[in-house]
Amino acid sequence: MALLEIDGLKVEFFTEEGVVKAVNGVNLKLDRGESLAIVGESGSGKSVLALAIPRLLPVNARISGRILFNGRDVLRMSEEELRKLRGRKIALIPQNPGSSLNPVLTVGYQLKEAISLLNGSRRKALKDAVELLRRLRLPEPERFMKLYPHMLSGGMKQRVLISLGIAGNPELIVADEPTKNLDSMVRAEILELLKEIGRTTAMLFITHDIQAAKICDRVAVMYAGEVVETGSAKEVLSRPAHPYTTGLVSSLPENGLIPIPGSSPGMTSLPEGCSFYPRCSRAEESCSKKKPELRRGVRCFYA
Amino acid sequence: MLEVEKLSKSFYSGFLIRRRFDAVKEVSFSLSRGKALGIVGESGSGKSTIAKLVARLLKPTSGRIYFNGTEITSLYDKEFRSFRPRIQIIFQHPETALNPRMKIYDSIAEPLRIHRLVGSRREERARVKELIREVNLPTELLSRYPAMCSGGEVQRVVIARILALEPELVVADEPTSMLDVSVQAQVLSLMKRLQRDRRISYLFISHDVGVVKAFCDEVLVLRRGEVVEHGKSERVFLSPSHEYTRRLVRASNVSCMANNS
Repeated sequence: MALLEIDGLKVEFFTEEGVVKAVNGVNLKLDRGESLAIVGESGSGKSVLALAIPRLLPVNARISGRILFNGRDVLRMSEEELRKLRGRKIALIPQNPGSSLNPVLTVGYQLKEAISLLNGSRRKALKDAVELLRRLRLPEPERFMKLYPHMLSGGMKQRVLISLGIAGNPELIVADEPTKNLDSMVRAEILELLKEIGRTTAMLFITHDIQAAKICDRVAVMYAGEVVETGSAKEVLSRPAHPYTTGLVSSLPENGLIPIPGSSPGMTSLPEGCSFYPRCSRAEESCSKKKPELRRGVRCFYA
Repeated sequence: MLEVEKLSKSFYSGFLIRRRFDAVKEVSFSLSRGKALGIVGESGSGKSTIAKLVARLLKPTSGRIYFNGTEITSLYDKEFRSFRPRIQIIFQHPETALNPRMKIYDSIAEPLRIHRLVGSRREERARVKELIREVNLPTELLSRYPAMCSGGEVQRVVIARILALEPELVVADEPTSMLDVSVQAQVLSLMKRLQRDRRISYLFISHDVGVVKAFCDEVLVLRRGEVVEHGKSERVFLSPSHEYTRRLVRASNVSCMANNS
Protein backbone atom coordinates (compact mmCIF):
# COMPACT_ATOMS: atom_id res chain seq x y z
CA MET A 1 0.00 0.00 0.00
CA ALA A 2 1.29 3.43 -0.96
CA LEU A 3 1.77 6.01 1.80
CA LEU A 4 -0.27 8.60 -0.07
CA GLU A 5 -2.68 7.96 -2.88
CA ILE A 6 -4.64 10.80 -4.40
CA ASP A 7 -7.46 9.70 -6.62
CA GLY A 8 -9.53 11.96 -8.87
CA LEU A 9 -9.05 14.99 -6.63
CA LYS A 10 -11.05 18.08 -7.55
CA VAL A 11 -11.09 21.35 -5.65
CA GLU A 12 -13.49 24.13 -6.54
CA PHE A 13 -14.01 27.52 -4.93
CA PHE A 14 -17.24 29.44 -5.09
CA THR A 15 -16.54 33.13 -5.62
CA GLU A 16 -18.38 36.17 -6.93
CA GLU A 17 -16.77 35.72 -10.35
CA GLY A 18 -17.98 32.15 -10.59
CA VAL A 19 -16.65 28.70 -9.83
CA VAL A 20 -12.85 28.59 -9.70
CA LYS A 21 -11.61 25.15 -10.68
CA ALA A 22 -8.26 25.07 -8.92
CA VAL A 23 -7.58 21.34 -9.02
CA ASN A 24 -9.15 19.34 -11.83
CA GLY A 25 -8.89 15.62 -11.33
CA VAL A 26 -5.42 14.88 -10.02
CA ASN A 27 -4.14 11.34 -9.43
CA LEU A 28 -0.89 10.90 -7.55
CA LYS A 29 0.89 8.17 -5.65
CA LEU A 30 3.73 8.47 -3.18
CA ASP A 31 5.53 5.58 -1.48
CA ARG A 32 7.36 5.65 1.83
CA GLY A 33 10.78 7.29 1.56
CA GLU A 34 9.98 8.68 -1.86
CA SER A 35 10.06 12.35 -2.84
CA LEU A 36 7.85 13.93 -5.46
CA ALA A 37 8.13 17.47 -6.82
CA ILE A 38 4.96 19.20 -7.99
CA VAL A 39 6.08 21.82 -10.49
CA GLY A 40 3.76 24.52 -11.75
CA GLU A 41 3.46 28.25 -12.30
CA SER A 42 1.23 30.72 -10.47
CA GLY A 43 -2.35 29.62 -10.72
CA SER A 44 -1.62 26.02 -11.68
CA GLY A 45 -3.31 24.75 -8.52
CA LYS A 46 -0.20 23.33 -6.90
CA SER A 47 -0.55 25.09 -3.55
CA VAL A 48 -4.25 24.26 -3.33
CA LEU A 49 -3.31 20.63 -3.88
CA ALA A 50 -0.72 20.91 -1.09
CA LEU A 51 -3.19 22.38 1.38
CA ALA A 52 -5.87 19.84 0.50
CA ILE A 53 -3.77 16.94 1.77
CA PRO A 54 -3.82 17.89 5.48
CA ARG A 55 -7.30 19.41 4.88
CA LEU A 56 -6.28 23.00 5.49
CA LEU A 57 -8.35 24.64 2.75
CA PRO A 58 -10.85 27.39 3.60
CA VAL A 59 -14.51 26.49 4.08
CA ASN A 60 -15.64 27.77 0.68
CA ALA A 61 -13.61 25.04 -1.03
CA ARG A 62 -15.54 22.04 -2.35
CA ILE A 63 -13.32 18.99 -2.44
CA SER A 64 -14.17 15.74 -4.17
CA GLY A 65 -12.22 12.57 -4.90
CA ARG A 66 -10.10 10.62 -2.43
CA ILE A 67 -6.92 11.34 -0.51
CA LEU A 68 -5.79 8.03 0.96
CA PHE A 69 -3.12 8.30 3.63
CA ASN A 70 -2.00 4.87 4.84
CA GLY A 71 -5.15 3.57 3.20
CA ARG A 72 -7.53 5.89 5.06
CA ASP A 73 -9.40 8.69 3.35
CA VAL A 74 -8.41 12.08 4.81
CA LEU A 75 -11.55 13.63 3.32
CA ARG A 76 -13.74 11.39 5.50
CA MET A 77 -11.92 11.93 8.77
CA SER A 78 -13.42 13.74 11.77
CA GLU A 79 -11.81 16.87 13.23
CA GLU A 80 -10.51 14.74 16.10
CA GLU A 81 -8.80 12.32 13.73
CA LEU A 82 -7.39 15.17 11.67
CA ARG A 83 -5.87 16.71 14.76
CA LYS A 84 -3.93 13.52 15.37
CA LEU A 85 -2.83 13.50 11.74
CA ARG A 86 -1.60 17.07 11.31
CA GLY A 87 1.95 17.67 12.46
CA ARG A 88 2.41 14.08 13.64
CA LYS A 89 1.80 12.12 10.46
CA ILE A 90 1.54 14.84 7.81
CA ALA A 91 3.45 18.08 8.30
CA LEU A 92 3.07 21.18 6.19
CA ILE A 93 5.94 23.60 5.69
CA PRO A 94 4.03 26.73 4.66
CA GLN A 95 5.11 29.32 2.10
CA ASN A 96 6.03 32.94 2.87
CA PRO A 97 8.37 32.58 5.86
CA GLY A 98 7.84 36.30 6.44
CA SER A 99 4.24 35.88 7.53
CA SER A 100 4.10 32.28 8.73
CA LEU A 101 5.76 32.86 12.12
CA ASN A 102 4.20 34.74 15.01
CA PRO A 103 5.98 38.13 15.11
CA VAL A 104 5.54 38.71 18.86
CA LEU A 105 6.89 35.37 20.09
CA THR A 106 10.50 34.23 20.10
CA VAL A 107 11.62 31.46 17.81
CA GLY A 108 12.35 29.30 20.84
CA TYR A 109 8.85 29.76 22.25
CA GLN A 110 7.26 28.78 18.96
CA LEU A 111 9.49 25.75 18.57
CA LYS A 112 9.00 24.54 22.15
CA GLU A 113 5.25 25.06 21.87
CA ALA A 114 5.08 22.88 18.79
CA ILE A 115 7.34 20.21 20.24
CA SER A 116 5.55 19.97 23.59
CA LEU A 117 2.20 19.72 21.83
CA LEU A 118 3.54 16.89 19.73
CA ASN A 119 5.22 14.77 22.39
CA GLY A 120 3.55 16.05 25.53
CA SER A 121 6.64 16.81 27.57
CA ARG A 122 7.60 20.41 28.24
CA ARG A 123 10.91 19.65 29.86
CA LYS A 124 12.17 17.61 26.97
CA ALA A 125 11.00 20.27 24.51
CA LEU A 126 13.94 22.61 25.12
CA LYS A 127 16.49 19.89 24.48
CA ASP A 128 14.66 18.75 21.35
CA ALA A 129 14.38 22.30 20.02
CA VAL A 130 18.12 22.90 20.37
CA GLU A 131 18.78 19.57 18.72
CA LEU A 132 16.50 20.45 15.80
CA LEU A 133 18.11 23.83 15.22
CA ARG A 134 21.50 22.19 15.26
CA ARG A 135 20.32 19.67 12.70
CA LEU A 136 19.32 22.56 10.44
CA ARG A 137 22.84 24.00 10.82
CA LEU A 138 21.76 27.17 12.60
CA PRO A 139 24.65 28.71 14.54
CA GLU A 140 24.47 28.92 18.37
CA PRO A 141 21.00 27.38 18.81
CA GLU A 142 20.64 28.47 22.46
CA ARG A 143 21.14 32.13 21.59
CA PHE A 144 19.11 31.77 18.41
CA MET A 145 16.04 30.63 20.37
CA LYS A 146 15.82 34.02 22.08
CA LEU A 147 15.44 35.90 18.79
CA TYR A 148 12.21 37.22 17.30
CA PRO A 149 11.27 36.50 13.67
CA HIS A 150 11.96 40.07 12.49
CA MET A 151 15.59 39.67 13.56
CA LEU A 152 16.11 36.79 11.15
CA SER A 153 16.88 36.71 7.45
CA GLY A 154 14.51 35.02 5.00
CA GLY A 155 16.67 31.90 4.85
CA MET A 156 16.79 31.59 8.65
CA LYS A 157 13.02 31.96 8.95
CA GLN A 158 12.61 29.27 6.31
CA ARG A 159 14.83 26.98 8.39
CA VAL A 160 12.74 27.63 11.47
CA LEU A 161 9.63 26.65 9.50
CA ILE A 162 11.34 23.50 8.28
CA SER A 163 12.33 22.63 11.85
CA LEU A 164 8.70 23.13 12.95
CA GLY A 165 7.70 20.80 10.12
CA ILE A 166 10.05 17.97 11.03
CA ALA A 167 9.57 18.41 14.82
CA GLY A 168 6.88 15.73 15.04
CA ASN A 169 8.79 13.15 12.99
CA PRO A 170 6.03 13.01 10.39
CA GLU A 171 5.65 10.26 7.82
CA LEU A 172 4.94 12.79 5.09
CA ILE A 173 6.24 16.34 4.64
CA VAL A 174 4.40 18.71 2.34
CA ALA A 175 6.70 21.65 1.59
CA ASP A 176 4.91 24.51 -0.13
CA GLU A 177 7.35 26.66 -2.12
CA PRO A 178 10.09 26.67 0.51
CA THR A 179 12.58 28.41 -1.80
CA LYS A 180 10.34 31.27 -2.93
CA ASN A 181 11.83 34.77 -2.55
CA LEU A 182 15.21 33.50 -1.40
CA ASP A 183 18.40 34.58 -3.12
CA SER A 184 20.38 31.97 -5.02
CA MET A 185 22.89 31.10 -2.29
CA VAL A 186 20.30 30.63 0.43
CA ARG A 187 18.12 28.73 -2.02
CA ALA A 188 20.95 26.27 -2.66
CA GLU A 189 21.40 25.72 1.10
CA ILE A 190 17.69 25.15 1.70
CA LEU A 191 17.50 22.73 -1.23
CA GLU A 192 20.46 20.79 0.13
CA LEU A 193 18.68 20.54 3.48
CA LEU A 194 15.37 19.42 1.97
CA LYS A 195 17.13 16.86 -0.12
CA GLU A 196 18.68 15.43 3.02
CA ILE A 197 15.31 15.30 4.78
CA GLY A 198 13.72 13.76 1.69
CA ARG A 199 16.12 10.84 1.91
CA THR A 200 14.53 9.58 5.12
CA THR A 201 10.99 10.97 5.02
CA ALA A 202 8.47 10.95 2.21
CA MET A 203 8.19 14.44 0.77
CA LEU A 204 5.86 16.33 -1.51
CA PHE A 205 7.82 19.33 -2.70
CA ILE A 206 5.68 22.07 -4.24
CA THR A 207 7.68 24.49 -6.39
CA HIS A 208 7.51 26.92 -9.29
CA ASP A 209 11.21 26.33 -9.87
CA ILE A 210 11.64 23.51 -12.35
CA GLN A 211 15.37 23.25 -11.64
CA ALA A 212 14.80 22.79 -7.93
CA ALA A 213 12.67 19.75 -8.76
CA LYS A 214 15.91 17.88 -9.35
CA ILE A 215 16.25 17.21 -5.64
CA CYS A 216 13.29 14.80 -5.85
CA ASP A 217 12.98 11.27 -7.21
CA ARG A 218 9.92 12.02 -9.28
CA VAL A 219 8.26 15.07 -10.83
CA ALA A 220 4.66 15.93 -11.69
CA VAL A 221 4.15 19.04 -13.82
CA MET A 222 0.87 20.85 -13.27
CA TYR A 223 -0.93 23.18 -15.66
CA ALA A 224 -4.39 24.68 -15.09
CA GLY A 225 -5.22 22.29 -12.25
CA GLU A 226 -4.13 19.12 -14.03
CA VAL A 227 -1.04 16.98 -14.08
CA VAL A 228 0.24 17.24 -17.66
CA GLU A 229 3.41 15.21 -17.29
CA THR A 230 4.90 12.91 -14.70
CA GLY A 231 7.92 10.66 -14.45
CA SER A 232 11.36 10.37 -12.92
CA ALA A 233 12.92 13.78 -12.26
CA LYS A 234 15.92 13.06 -14.47
CA GLU A 235 13.80 11.86 -17.35
CA VAL A 236 11.24 14.68 -17.32
CA LEU A 237 13.77 17.50 -16.94
CA SER A 238 16.24 16.26 -19.52
CA ARG A 239 13.73 14.91 -22.05
CA PRO A 240 10.42 16.71 -21.48
CA ALA A 241 7.62 15.26 -23.61
CA HIS A 242 4.63 17.52 -23.04
CA PRO A 243 4.72 20.80 -25.03
CA TYR A 244 4.18 22.78 -21.81
CA THR A 245 7.10 21.13 -20.00
CA THR A 246 9.24 21.63 -23.11
CA GLY A 247 8.27 25.30 -23.08
CA LEU A 248 9.09 25.66 -19.38
CA VAL A 249 12.52 24.13 -19.86
CA SER A 250 13.35 26.34 -22.84
CA SER A 251 12.29 29.49 -21.01
CA LEU A 252 15.13 28.96 -18.52
CA PRO A 253 17.98 31.48 -18.92
CA GLU A 254 20.57 28.81 -19.77
CA ASN A 255 18.34 27.47 -22.55
CA GLY A 256 17.93 30.81 -24.26
CA LEU A 257 14.94 32.40 -22.48
CA ILE A 258 12.49 31.32 -25.18
CA PRO A 259 9.04 32.28 -23.88
CA ILE A 260 5.80 30.29 -24.18
CA PRO A 261 3.35 32.47 -26.13
CA GLY A 262 0.16 33.63 -24.39
CA SER A 263 -0.65 33.28 -20.72
CA SER A 264 -2.20 30.72 -18.37
CA PRO A 265 -5.98 30.41 -18.67
CA GLY A 266 -8.17 31.85 -15.93
CA MET A 267 -9.52 29.13 -13.70
CA THR A 268 -13.07 30.35 -14.11
CA SER A 269 -12.95 29.89 -17.87
CA LEU A 270 -10.88 26.87 -18.80
CA PRO A 271 -10.78 26.07 -22.50
CA GLU A 272 -12.59 22.97 -23.72
CA GLY A 273 -10.47 20.07 -24.84
CA CYS A 274 -6.78 20.23 -23.90
CA SER A 275 -6.23 23.13 -21.49
CA PHE A 276 -2.89 23.99 -23.12
CA TYR A 277 -3.98 23.96 -26.77
CA PRO A 278 -4.45 27.78 -27.20
CA ARG A 279 -0.72 28.26 -26.44
CA CYS A 280 0.58 25.09 -28.03
CA SER A 281 2.65 25.05 -31.22
CA ARG A 282 1.84 21.41 -31.90
CA ALA A 283 -1.92 21.77 -31.49
CA GLU A 284 -4.25 20.32 -34.11
CA GLU A 285 -7.93 20.97 -34.58
CA SER A 286 -8.91 17.92 -32.51
CA CYS A 287 -7.07 19.29 -29.44
CA SER A 288 -9.72 21.96 -29.00
CA LYS A 289 -12.51 19.36 -28.83
CA LYS A 290 -11.28 16.37 -26.89
CA LYS A 291 -9.34 16.35 -23.64
CA PRO A 292 -6.27 14.09 -23.80
CA GLU A 293 -5.82 11.52 -21.02
CA LEU A 294 -2.61 11.01 -19.09
CA ARG A 295 -0.97 8.22 -21.11
CA ARG A 296 2.48 6.88 -20.22
CA GLY A 297 2.95 9.96 -18.04
CA VAL A 298 2.04 12.56 -20.66
CA ARG A 299 -1.27 14.33 -21.23
CA CYS A 300 -0.94 15.01 -24.97
CA PHE A 301 -2.19 13.36 -28.18
CA TYR A 302 1.04 13.97 -30.05
CA ALA A 303 3.82 13.43 -27.53
CA MET B 1 27.19 57.19 -21.66
CA LEU B 2 27.08 56.37 -17.95
CA GLU B 3 30.24 56.82 -15.93
CA VAL B 4 30.29 56.07 -12.21
CA GLU B 5 33.31 57.09 -10.14
CA LYS B 6 34.08 55.94 -6.60
CA LEU B 7 30.46 55.93 -5.58
CA SER B 8 29.83 55.44 -1.85
CA LYS B 9 26.72 55.48 0.29
CA SER B 10 26.53 55.20 4.06
CA PHE B 11 23.39 55.01 6.13
CA TYR B 12 23.19 56.26 9.68
CA SER B 13 20.99 54.97 12.44
CA GLY B 14 20.60 55.45 16.17
CA PHE B 15 19.82 58.55 18.20
CA LEU B 16 22.46 59.11 20.88
CA ILE B 17 24.98 56.67 19.55
CA ARG B 18 25.22 57.13 15.82
CA ARG B 19 25.89 53.96 13.92
CA ARG B 20 27.19 53.92 10.40
CA PHE B 21 26.54 51.30 7.77
CA ASP B 22 28.47 51.46 4.51
CA ALA B 23 26.11 50.03 1.91
CA VAL B 24 28.22 50.91 -1.11
CA LYS B 25 31.98 51.44 -0.97
CA GLU B 26 33.83 53.25 -3.77
CA VAL B 27 32.18 51.50 -6.69
CA SER B 28 33.24 52.54 -10.19
CA PHE B 29 31.99 51.35 -13.56
CA SER B 30 30.94 52.59 -16.97
CA LEU B 31 28.20 51.62 -19.38
CA SER B 32 27.98 52.50 -23.07
CA ARG B 33 24.90 53.04 -25.24
CA GLY B 34 22.89 49.94 -26.08
CA LYS B 35 24.75 47.68 -23.66
CA ALA B 36 23.62 45.82 -20.56
CA LEU B 37 25.66 45.78 -17.38
CA GLY B 38 24.65 43.32 -14.68
CA ILE B 39 25.19 43.71 -10.95
CA VAL B 40 25.01 40.44 -9.01
CA GLY B 41 25.37 39.68 -5.34
CA GLU B 42 23.38 38.18 -2.49
CA SER B 43 20.78 40.03 -0.42
CA GLY B 44 22.34 42.94 1.43
CA SER B 45 25.30 43.34 -0.92
CA GLY B 46 24.28 46.87 -1.90
CA LYS B 47 22.89 46.14 -5.39
CA SER B 48 19.62 47.98 -4.93
CA THR B 49 21.36 50.96 -3.33
CA ILE B 50 23.44 51.37 -6.47
CA ALA B 51 20.26 51.22 -8.56
CA LYS B 52 18.69 53.97 -6.48
CA LEU B 53 21.82 56.11 -6.58
CA VAL B 54 22.07 55.92 -10.36
CA ALA B 55 18.35 56.73 -10.74
CA ARG B 56 18.92 59.62 -8.31
CA LEU B 57 16.40 58.35 -5.81
CA LEU B 58 19.17 58.53 -3.20
CA LYS B 59 22.00 61.01 -2.78
CA PRO B 60 25.46 59.46 -2.60
CA THR B 61 27.73 60.09 0.41
CA SER B 62 30.60 60.61 -2.01
CA GLY B 63 31.50 59.90 -5.61
CA ARG B 64 30.31 61.08 -8.97
CA ILE B 65 27.90 59.90 -11.64
CA TYR B 66 28.31 61.21 -15.20
CA PHE B 67 25.47 60.85 -17.68
CA ASN B 68 26.53 61.74 -21.23
CA GLY B 69 29.32 63.82 -19.76
CA THR B 70 27.22 65.78 -17.25
CA GLU B 71 27.82 65.18 -13.56
CA ILE B 72 24.29 64.53 -12.26
CA THR B 73 24.76 64.07 -8.50
CA SER B 74 25.54 67.74 -7.87
CA LEU B 75 22.65 69.08 -9.98
CA TYR B 76 19.70 70.76 -8.32
CA ASP B 77 16.39 68.93 -8.68
CA LYS B 78 15.17 71.53 -11.16
CA GLU B 79 18.28 71.16 -13.31
CA PHE B 80 17.99 67.37 -13.15
CA ARG B 81 14.41 67.43 -14.41
CA SER B 82 15.49 67.35 -18.06
CA PHE B 83 17.44 64.15 -17.36
CA ARG B 84 14.55 62.38 -15.60
CA PRO B 85 12.85 61.03 -18.75
CA ARG B 86 16.17 59.74 -20.04
CA ILE B 87 16.97 57.68 -16.92
CA GLN B 88 14.16 55.37 -15.85
CA ILE B 89 13.80 52.58 -13.33
CA ILE B 90 11.91 49.26 -13.16
CA PHE B 91 11.28 48.02 -9.63
CA GLN B 92 11.24 44.51 -8.26
CA HIS B 93 7.67 44.29 -7.02
CA PRO B 94 5.23 44.75 -9.89
CA GLU B 95 2.25 44.85 -7.51
CA THR B 96 3.42 48.07 -5.86
CA ALA B 97 4.84 49.77 -8.94
CA LEU B 98 1.55 51.19 -10.23
CA ASN B 99 -1.05 53.33 -8.52
CA PRO B 100 -3.79 50.81 -7.60
CA ARG B 101 -6.54 53.40 -8.11
CA MET B 102 -5.50 54.34 -11.61
CA LYS B 103 -6.56 52.44 -14.71
CA ILE B 104 -3.74 51.00 -16.79
CA TYR B 105 -4.53 53.60 -19.47
CA ASP B 106 -3.92 56.50 -17.09
CA SER B 107 -0.77 54.94 -15.66
CA ILE B 108 0.74 54.84 -19.14
CA ALA B 109 -0.60 58.29 -20.11
CA GLU B 110 0.63 59.98 -16.92
CA PRO B 111 4.29 60.42 -17.93
CA LEU B 112 3.16 61.69 -21.34
CA ARG B 113 1.06 64.34 -19.62
CA ILE B 114 3.67 65.33 -17.04
CA HIS B 115 6.42 65.80 -19.59
CA ARG B 116 4.00 67.38 -22.13
CA LEU B 117 4.86 64.89 -24.84
CA VAL B 118 1.43 64.88 -26.49
CA GLY B 119 -0.60 67.82 -27.73
CA SER B 120 -4.15 66.51 -27.61
CA ARG B 121 -6.31 63.76 -26.09
CA ARG B 122 -6.50 62.08 -29.46
CA GLU B 123 -2.79 62.03 -29.81
CA GLU B 124 -2.50 60.69 -26.27
CA ARG B 125 -4.90 57.84 -26.96
CA ALA B 126 -3.05 56.87 -30.11
CA ARG B 127 0.30 56.94 -28.34
CA VAL B 128 -0.89 54.85 -25.36
CA LYS B 129 -2.32 52.22 -27.71
CA GLU B 130 0.92 52.15 -29.64
CA LEU B 131 2.89 51.66 -26.41
CA ILE B 132 0.73 48.84 -25.08
CA ARG B 133 1.10 47.03 -28.40
CA GLU B 134 4.83 47.51 -28.32
CA VAL B 135 5.01 45.45 -25.10
CA ASN B 136 2.76 42.72 -26.62
CA LEU B 137 -0.31 43.36 -24.49
CA PRO B 138 -3.92 43.51 -25.71
CA THR B 139 -5.58 46.96 -25.72
CA GLU B 140 -8.45 45.58 -23.57
CA LEU B 141 -6.05 45.76 -20.63
CA LEU B 142 -6.13 49.57 -20.75
CA SER B 143 -9.50 49.80 -19.04
CA ARG B 144 -8.47 47.54 -16.14
CA TYR B 145 -6.93 48.27 -12.75
CA PRO B 146 -3.54 46.80 -11.72
CA ALA B 147 -5.20 44.34 -9.32
CA MET B 148 -6.97 42.76 -12.28
CA CYS B 149 -3.69 42.01 -14.07
CA SER B 150 -1.08 39.31 -13.51
CA GLY B 151 2.45 40.14 -12.33
CA GLY B 152 3.91 39.66 -15.79
CA GLU B 153 1.28 41.94 -17.33
CA VAL B 154 1.91 44.67 -14.76
CA GLN B 155 5.67 44.47 -15.30
CA ARG B 156 5.08 44.95 -19.04
CA VAL B 157 2.78 47.90 -18.33
CA VAL B 158 5.62 49.40 -16.28
CA ILE B 159 7.90 48.95 -19.29
CA ALA B 160 5.32 50.57 -21.61
CA ARG B 161 5.10 53.52 -19.22
CA ILE B 162 8.85 53.89 -19.26
CA LEU B 163 9.01 53.64 -23.06
CA ALA B 164 6.64 56.59 -23.30
CA LEU B 165 9.58 58.77 -22.26
CA GLU B 166 12.03 57.22 -24.72
CA PRO B 167 14.74 56.64 -22.10
CA GLU B 168 18.39 56.06 -22.88
CA LEU B 169 19.17 54.26 -19.66
CA VAL B 170 16.89 51.86 -17.79
CA VAL B 171 17.84 50.78 -14.29
CA ALA B 172 16.14 47.42 -13.74
CA ASP B 173 16.15 46.33 -10.08
CA GLU B 174 15.36 42.59 -10.06
CA PRO B 175 12.65 43.09 -12.70
CA THR B 176 11.76 39.40 -12.98
CA SER B 177 12.55 37.87 -9.60
CA MET B 178 8.86 37.76 -8.64
CA LEU B 179 7.75 36.21 -11.94
CA ASP B 180 7.32 32.64 -13.13
CA VAL B 181 10.02 31.32 -15.46
CA SER B 182 7.90 31.39 -18.61
CA VAL B 183 6.74 34.93 -17.82
CA GLN B 184 10.31 35.92 -16.96
CA ALA B 185 11.33 34.76 -20.43
CA GLN B 186 8.57 36.92 -21.97
CA VAL B 187 9.62 40.05 -20.08
CA LEU B 188 13.34 39.57 -20.67
CA SER B 189 12.97 38.89 -24.38
CA LEU B 190 10.87 42.07 -24.62
CA MET B 191 13.64 44.00 -22.86
CA LYS B 192 16.23 42.49 -25.19
CA ARG B 193 14.21 43.54 -28.25
CA LEU B 194 13.97 47.11 -26.96
CA GLN B 195 17.69 47.14 -26.39
CA ARG B 196 18.19 46.23 -30.05
CA ASP B 197 15.49 48.45 -31.58
CA ARG B 198 15.89 51.54 -29.43
CA ARG B 199 19.48 51.17 -28.26
CA ILE B 200 18.44 51.30 -24.62
CA SER B 201 21.17 50.61 -22.07
CA TYR B 202 20.40 48.57 -18.98
CA LEU B 203 21.83 48.57 -15.52
CA PHE B 204 20.49 45.18 -14.55
CA ILE B 205 20.37 44.25 -10.87
CA SER B 206 19.82 40.59 -10.02
CA HIS B 207 20.80 37.82 -7.64
CA ASP B 208 20.23 35.27 -10.37
CA VAL B 209 23.49 34.35 -12.07
CA GLY B 210 21.69 32.49 -14.87
CA VAL B 211 19.59 35.49 -15.83
CA VAL B 212 22.54 37.89 -15.76
CA LYS B 213 24.63 35.50 -17.84
CA ALA B 214 21.90 35.36 -20.48
CA PHE B 215 21.03 39.05 -20.44
CA CYS B 216 24.17 41.12 -19.78
CA ASP B 217 27.32 41.83 -21.76
CA GLU B 218 29.30 42.78 -18.70
CA VAL B 219 28.93 42.02 -15.03
CA LEU B 220 29.93 43.45 -11.69
CA VAL B 221 30.04 41.11 -8.71
CA LEU B 222 29.22 42.90 -5.50
CA ARG B 223 29.88 41.75 -1.96
CA ARG B 224 29.19 43.85 1.12
CA GLY B 225 29.20 47.03 -0.95
CA GLU B 226 32.46 46.33 -2.72
CA VAL B 227 33.16 45.16 -6.26
CA VAL B 228 34.99 41.84 -6.05
CA GLU B 229 35.01 41.05 -9.76
CA HIS B 230 34.26 42.90 -12.98
CA GLY B 231 34.40 41.76 -16.58
CA LYS B 232 32.64 40.27 -19.59
CA SER B 233 29.84 38.14 -18.18
CA GLU B 234 30.89 35.02 -20.08
CA ARG B 235 34.42 35.23 -18.74
CA VAL B 236 33.34 36.01 -15.17
CA PHE B 237 30.88 33.12 -14.93
CA LEU B 238 32.88 30.55 -16.88
CA SER B 239 36.16 31.15 -15.09
CA PRO B 240 35.52 33.25 -11.99
CA SER B 241 38.69 34.52 -10.37
CA HIS B 242 37.25 35.51 -7.00
CA GLU B 243 36.18 32.91 -4.43
CA TYR B 244 32.88 34.73 -3.82
CA THR B 245 31.95 34.61 -7.52
CA ARG B 246 32.76 30.91 -7.55
CA ARG B 247 30.36 30.40 -4.65
CA LEU B 248 27.62 32.36 -6.43
CA VAL B 249 28.04 30.32 -9.59
CA ARG B 250 28.04 27.07 -7.65
CA ALA B 251 24.86 28.07 -5.80
CA SER B 252 23.05 28.79 -9.04
CA ASN B 253 24.00 25.38 -10.34
CA VAL B 254 21.43 23.19 -8.67
CA SER B 255 22.01 20.66 -11.39
CA CYS B 256 25.55 19.99 -10.20
CA MET B 257 24.24 19.56 -6.69
CA ALA B 258 21.70 16.96 -7.77
CA ASN B 259 24.26 15.02 -9.76
CA ASN B 260 26.74 14.80 -6.91
CA SER B 261 24.79 12.13 -5.09
